[in-house]
Amino acid sequence: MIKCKRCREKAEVQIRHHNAAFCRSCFLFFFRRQVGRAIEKELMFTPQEKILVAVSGGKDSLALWDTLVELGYNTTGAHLALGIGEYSNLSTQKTEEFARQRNLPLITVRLADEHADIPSVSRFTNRPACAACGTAKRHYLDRIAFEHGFRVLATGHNLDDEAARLMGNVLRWRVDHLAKQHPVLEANHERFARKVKPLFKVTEYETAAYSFLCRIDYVVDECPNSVGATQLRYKELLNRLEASMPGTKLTFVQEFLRSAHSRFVAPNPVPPTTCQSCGMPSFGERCSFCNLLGEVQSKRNGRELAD
Amino acid sequence: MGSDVSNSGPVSRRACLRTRKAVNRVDSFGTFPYLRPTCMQITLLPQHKLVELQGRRRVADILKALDLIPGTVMVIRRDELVTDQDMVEADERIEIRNVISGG
Repeated sequence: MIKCKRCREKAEVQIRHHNAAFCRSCFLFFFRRQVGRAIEKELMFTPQEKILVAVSGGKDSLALWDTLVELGYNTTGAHLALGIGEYSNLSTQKTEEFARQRNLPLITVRLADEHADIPSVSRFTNRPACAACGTAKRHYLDRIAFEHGFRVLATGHNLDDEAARLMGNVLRWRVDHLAKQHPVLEANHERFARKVKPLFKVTEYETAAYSFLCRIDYVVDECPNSVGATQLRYKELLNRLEASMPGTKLTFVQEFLRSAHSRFVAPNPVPPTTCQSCGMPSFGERCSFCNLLGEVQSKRNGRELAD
Repeated sequence: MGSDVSNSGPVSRRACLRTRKAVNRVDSFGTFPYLRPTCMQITLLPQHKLVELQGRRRVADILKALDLIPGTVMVIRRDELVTDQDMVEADERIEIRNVISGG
């Protein structure tokens, strides 16, 4: 029987890369302290700032929101109902229930109301669903933050996400992406919020354990569009390395940030202009999301005319 | 059961009553003992798949048998997590929940 490192009771959670195991209550304390320290060390935000938390209904975003509330931060949730069938319905239901139980403010945007649900966008533009989803999420989260006066947007990206993303960027030497890979992305336009990732040093196992032990009812099923995703392949490789060499993922990400990140500079660091359709920051006349939506609308109109 | 109670003496009657209590007592699974699984029953999520394994095993050995990487799943017994070094009995039910998400 493995004993808790803090109190010597029976351990429920083992964290090899910290050479530690914890009982339920000690693990929750450890997790919150890890997140709190990451926020302070990276200067993500102050207790006086209002934080908009992007919540999907999954374990990471709900664990993040719960932790920020427990640490005493002023938070509001932002949820996007992506319109991906029953998966999205369940995600919205669990997010709304989480907020209701804890009496937390939640802003929900239903993409289908703006004809921007992911299946429609993917169908009418012939783009992969994940590409359309990423563009839509970035657009709507930036817009919600701006319209409601939030200067900080927190997302539930964890260590596994960051390590997999780093692996993909390094394998392809995407230097502009490497320049932007950081737990804190300062706003380069007055309409952007600062984007932060408070969970960037905790693993997916830890966020799952936290959600389970806090009795958070999260969506266990995976997004149907994530089958075969490249991100999953990178995560599998990294987890195999981690199993035989504990600490690999954390070292990979931490040392990149400490030793290598500053050597990469994003090309064209000119602040973006403003989209003529929605007023959000853009590199051209229209932002990438409005271009996408325009394509959907014109093809939808074309089909209606043909019918 | 009552009709099978022997009248041959107080010892036999006590033995029958103990047996009746044992049969009627709900076990820790919330089921009657004769409904307890005879081998280890493992529910895999999110696949919603049921797997059976024979024999008492350490969690690390269960993961190896199912070709699962440690740290990518939570192993849940009733309402608690178990670590790699914990033992799972041959007739227990556990859930193994994948924690790695694709996006």
